[in-house]
Amino acid sequence: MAVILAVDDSTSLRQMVTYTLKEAGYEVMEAVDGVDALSAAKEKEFDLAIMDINMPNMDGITLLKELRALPQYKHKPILMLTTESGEEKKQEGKAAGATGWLVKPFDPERLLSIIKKVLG
Amino acid sequence: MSVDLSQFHQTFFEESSEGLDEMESGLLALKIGADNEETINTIFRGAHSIKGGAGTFGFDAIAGFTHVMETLMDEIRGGNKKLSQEIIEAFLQSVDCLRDMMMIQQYNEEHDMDRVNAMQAELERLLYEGKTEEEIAAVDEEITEDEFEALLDQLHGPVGGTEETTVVIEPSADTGDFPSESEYQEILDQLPGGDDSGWNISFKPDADLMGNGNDPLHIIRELEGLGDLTVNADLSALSSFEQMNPVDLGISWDMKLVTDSTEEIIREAFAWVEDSCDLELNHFGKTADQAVTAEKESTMAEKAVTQTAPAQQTVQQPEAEPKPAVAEKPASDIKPAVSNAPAATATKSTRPAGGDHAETASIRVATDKIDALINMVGELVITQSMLSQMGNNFEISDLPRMVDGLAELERNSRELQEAVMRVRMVPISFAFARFPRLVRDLGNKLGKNFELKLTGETTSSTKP
Repeated sequence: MAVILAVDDSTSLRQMVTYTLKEAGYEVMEAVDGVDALSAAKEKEFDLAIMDINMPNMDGITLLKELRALPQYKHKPILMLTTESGEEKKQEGKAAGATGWLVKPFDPERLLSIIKKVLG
Repeated sequence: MSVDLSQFHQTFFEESSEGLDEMESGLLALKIGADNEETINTIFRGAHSIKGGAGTFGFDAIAGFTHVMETLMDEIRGGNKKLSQEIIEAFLQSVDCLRDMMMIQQYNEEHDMDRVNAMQAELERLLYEGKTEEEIAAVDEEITEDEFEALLDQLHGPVGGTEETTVVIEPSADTGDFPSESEYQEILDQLPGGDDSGWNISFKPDADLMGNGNDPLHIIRELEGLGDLTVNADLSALSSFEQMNPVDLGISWDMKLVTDSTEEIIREAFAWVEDSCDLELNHFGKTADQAVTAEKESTMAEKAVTQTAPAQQTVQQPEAEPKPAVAEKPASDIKPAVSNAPAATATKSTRPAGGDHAETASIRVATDKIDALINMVGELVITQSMLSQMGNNFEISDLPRMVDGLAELERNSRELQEAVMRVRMVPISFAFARFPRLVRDLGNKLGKNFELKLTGETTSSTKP
């Protein structure tokens, strides 16, 4: 099954995402911030990543750029998970190489439909 | 698949409590005129996380309130608003308010909406102070400019089109500003019906569309879910096999989608790639304006409800059919912020009697303590295994080794016990965490400056 990297400094949200994806049969790697995520991504390759933008230590935009610099993640789908529906943040994410975004709040069904859309 | 989100609530309340403590510490540390960038970012992230979690778990009153805090702090960190003592004080009071809201939410009691609304109004006053109407609209972008213009058109006249359809909206006596469901159905019935209708879609992606992980197949899959889709691929721009770059697209698509979905929904499927393609949508069947008008009315009605009172959606049972925007409401009243949110969930439960029910049932443990525990358990297992093996084939000559093994077992057990006790040890500073705020508020009340010095706060103590 596909491996998904879930990155969010909010424990409850990360747990919800992880639980939802695991119940749907995906393998999930969790990370609490960009530094943690980058380390996990270098250890094991993911098929799709979902990451919050606002995180301590390394934010989502910086993490995205770091991942896109790695050959194995140059073209992998990476989704930004954010409460910020403002155009500026979306454009910043796109410029950094984001595949798309999912705006909080979202429910588990919405999350799964987006994942299915991207991974098939 | 249905997920019971209540299993994550306790974690949300605990992390929010920590987040609020961090926000408060940050606010107390802010100094007007100094470089507060990192502290302001920390405070912003705290509000941002709480808002995101509250929205996800359906705590709309908390989400609505925190949204204003987040927006105001975002304005400050973006340099659009100057930090002031007044703002710091308002934030500190907001943190107190939010703490109480968390506790109330935890026990499913009713929020004191008078207090919440008053605090929120104060934050909004500070947020919008000195801004023009355009700047106010730009602060919160939950409604796009096109939608806002369309809403104004709706309020001041019929939506344009080749065939004018006048839709009569009479306010209902029972539901106030919004028509009832039967009245709305009457409006829909006034619009002419049709047979097959849908959209001809011309999708010409840029060659590098797949560079960021996008895949036209994702979009086609999503469109398939909206109706009956016919797809034709144009391969004329595809490079020869020898020159082909697997990541570069040389394909465009013409599609026909038979569906009742509106243009907005179709375009939603292309949202991630709208800047990386040429997209044309042409409606066929029922006139485009009639299809678009009906959906725009319902979409703007949904957004109008969301703009004026998002928290109300948790209490009012939302109608199955969305309502059109109301003609009577002037455009200037449509502000993104929440102003009157009624009480949250009505189910009451009694808080536990006595004790501090705000105390969390968990503690944070450093990973090095966990690593030490794991190592000690490993050594214990080795010792136990050695003794067990010795016991199976025991001879009197093994007695000294047995004695040494038992001494080792005793040492492992004692170390393990001490390590487990240390897990509960936390810096004693937790007991004095509220003192800085207490002293500050006392100083403000008495009009005096106090300096609070805490030393030895890293001394470990067992958390009760």
